[in-house]
Amino acid sequence: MADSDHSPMSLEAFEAEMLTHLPDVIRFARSLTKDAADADDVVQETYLRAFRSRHTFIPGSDGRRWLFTIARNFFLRSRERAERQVSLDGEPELDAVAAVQASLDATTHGLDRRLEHPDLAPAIAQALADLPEMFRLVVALVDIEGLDYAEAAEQLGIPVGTVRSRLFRARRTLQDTLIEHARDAGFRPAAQEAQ
Amino acid sequence: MSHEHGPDCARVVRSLYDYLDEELTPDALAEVKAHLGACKGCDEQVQLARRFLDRLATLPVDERDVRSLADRVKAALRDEAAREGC
Repeated sequence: MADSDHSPMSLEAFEAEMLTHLPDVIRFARSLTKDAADADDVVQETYLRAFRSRHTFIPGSDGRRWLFTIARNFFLRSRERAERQVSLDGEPELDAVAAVQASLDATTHGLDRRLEHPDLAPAIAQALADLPEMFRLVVALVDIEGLDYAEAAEQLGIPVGTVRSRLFRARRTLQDTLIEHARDAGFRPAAQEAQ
Repeated sequence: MSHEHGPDCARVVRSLYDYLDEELTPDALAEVKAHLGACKGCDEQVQLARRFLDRLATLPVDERDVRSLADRVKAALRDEAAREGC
């Protein structure tokens, strides 16, 4: 993306163009990190790095995607990679079977009717923060940033099959957590509400 | 919800996320699409998973947090710009 022919943006132009993406960058940083303070640091460092390399930004290109790439690279390179323990990954077939059950559970327990409830947003955010990092990162890269499996695999240095497997498990865990939340919050399945 | 999962349904639900993530091979994609067109129960499962992923990708960020971080980022950028000018 480097293009030294572009004259660097002024501070004012940079802020006008890039700060419109701040809510998205915050959301992405929070999905990468477990801790809100860490996420804030990632956001600030992302903008500082972006500003320093603003000459590489091509006017008219996707600023949000550019910022996400900077945030992701900063975060991943600043992390210890010790968590990459393939042994924690389960059998894909077991995950697949569990996915069928999770899907049925979601409808049985009324999650389908409660997904848009405002009360679920903090529960989702907390469930995401509670995921082990190896699972949270695939959700961040695929579900929040929008990378495909191959791109996420390359960034994380793991096979595509491992991305798929971790994604399966992460999403299932999130769904299970939300079902628990809905149950604890007194949300009733549709069948009971009709009675 | 009276959807009974048969062998075809189970296979489709196993492919559900690959389908939504556009990671299926053309043949598998055609198979899933054909099944979804004929099976209301599986189609509902797919719609639920799609809404779940949409919700995950668009978690709200508190406006106060945005304002606070915007102030912090702007201050850091001003310092950086001042350093560049030196």
